Amino acid sequence: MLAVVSLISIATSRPPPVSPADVPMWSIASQPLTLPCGTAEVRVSKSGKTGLGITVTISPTGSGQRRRQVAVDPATPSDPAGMPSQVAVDPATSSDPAGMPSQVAVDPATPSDPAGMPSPVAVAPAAPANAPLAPVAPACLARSITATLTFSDRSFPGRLVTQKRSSELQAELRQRRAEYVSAADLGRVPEPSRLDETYYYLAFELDNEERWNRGERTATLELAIEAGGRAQVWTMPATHAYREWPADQR
Amino acid sequence: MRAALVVVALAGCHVHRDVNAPGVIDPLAPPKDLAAAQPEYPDDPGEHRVTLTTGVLGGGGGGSFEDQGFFELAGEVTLSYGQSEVTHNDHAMNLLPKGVVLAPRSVGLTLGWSGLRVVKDKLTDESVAKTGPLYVEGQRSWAGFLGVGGGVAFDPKTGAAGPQVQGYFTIYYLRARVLFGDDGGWEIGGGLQFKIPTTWVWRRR
Repeated sequence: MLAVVSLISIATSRPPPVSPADVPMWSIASQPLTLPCGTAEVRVSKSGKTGLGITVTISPTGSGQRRRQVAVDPATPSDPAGMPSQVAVDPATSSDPAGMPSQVAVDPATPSDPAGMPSPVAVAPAAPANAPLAPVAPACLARSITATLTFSDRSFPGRLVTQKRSSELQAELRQRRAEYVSAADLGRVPEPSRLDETYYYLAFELDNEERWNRGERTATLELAIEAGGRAQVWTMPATHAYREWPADQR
Repeated sequence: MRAALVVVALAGCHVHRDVNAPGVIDPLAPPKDLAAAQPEYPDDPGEHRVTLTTGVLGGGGGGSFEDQGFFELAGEVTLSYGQSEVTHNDHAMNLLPKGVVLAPRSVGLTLGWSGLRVVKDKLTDESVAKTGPLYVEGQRSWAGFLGVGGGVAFDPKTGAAGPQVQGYFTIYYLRARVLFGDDGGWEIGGGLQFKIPTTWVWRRR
């Protein structure tokens, strides 16, 4: 009997992975936004009871076609393109009462390009496996990026929490992976499709649950980006609704 | 189709309320993977579960009321409440996506009636049907499979009243009661129970 049960157990295939429970998420209906030096895409990264967070990804024009590996001087603390890895917060100059800047300022002294475009970095034929990868194509950097989520009764400003280049993310990923895998496996870390993107994460703190319970499930996102020497504003609808998740999520 | 509906009805079901549905996040904490195309799955706040259970209990027993024992059919309605640390997932309930969802631990209130009782008539030695006491109990339950309750029973025909305790495990139950009054006495019984739960679920704040 035990043998029969064991055979049946062995012959039974593993159950397929199960999707997690559906939960409400904000979503933004948006097409890629055209900037003078590239394109911007906006998506919701986090959504929950106390607010939401969006990530704006800016890709330079021609991104992904000029990608090369470059050597980066490890002595240089920040990104060679002059991009700070974190937003510097100066409460004294911040207009936000909570002390978070609503805009990020890029050092105007660094780039030679009047449009705020940094110069390409030095190119080398090969780089160490664990060295951060930097883009060859000049990144399309935002001099300022602001967002506002507007409901029927009030608006909530977005706070720029962090901004990172894809090269930084790749370096961080390699660093994290290095803690778990052998050095030989580091070379297998998948590369992002485009190494010259810049990610801006903006957070909205709001009474999201109360609004969900009241049935207020639509809003308007206003996104303002100054990049490539031009300031532009986009308005896009946002919807709060249940979302199905893929089985490998969570 | 009809058979499937019958199976679902007999197995119980759950009903979603969508209040407090958003998950738990810290919006000021950047996502773990800033480049991820998918949003982060929020943390689970857990959920509230209110269950209305209706059913019948059939069994027998004995005591000072009926010298030769009795067979009984009782009806019960229980309203119970509990919380779960984990939100249930319909996608993981392949056979019955809207099937039974019960709180891991719950407290409730049960109204019951020993509605049909068959006893031997002492004079004629024939079986006669009569009604038994009404009762109300507070109940504590674990995963819906194990529970204990205590309360009062009252026989409207005789006016006798007194304490009652009951316990159950899966489909089995045991009950004891003592009634005080002109036609008072005690009895112990047990048998099988068949109950259908309907649960309303909504997420915690």
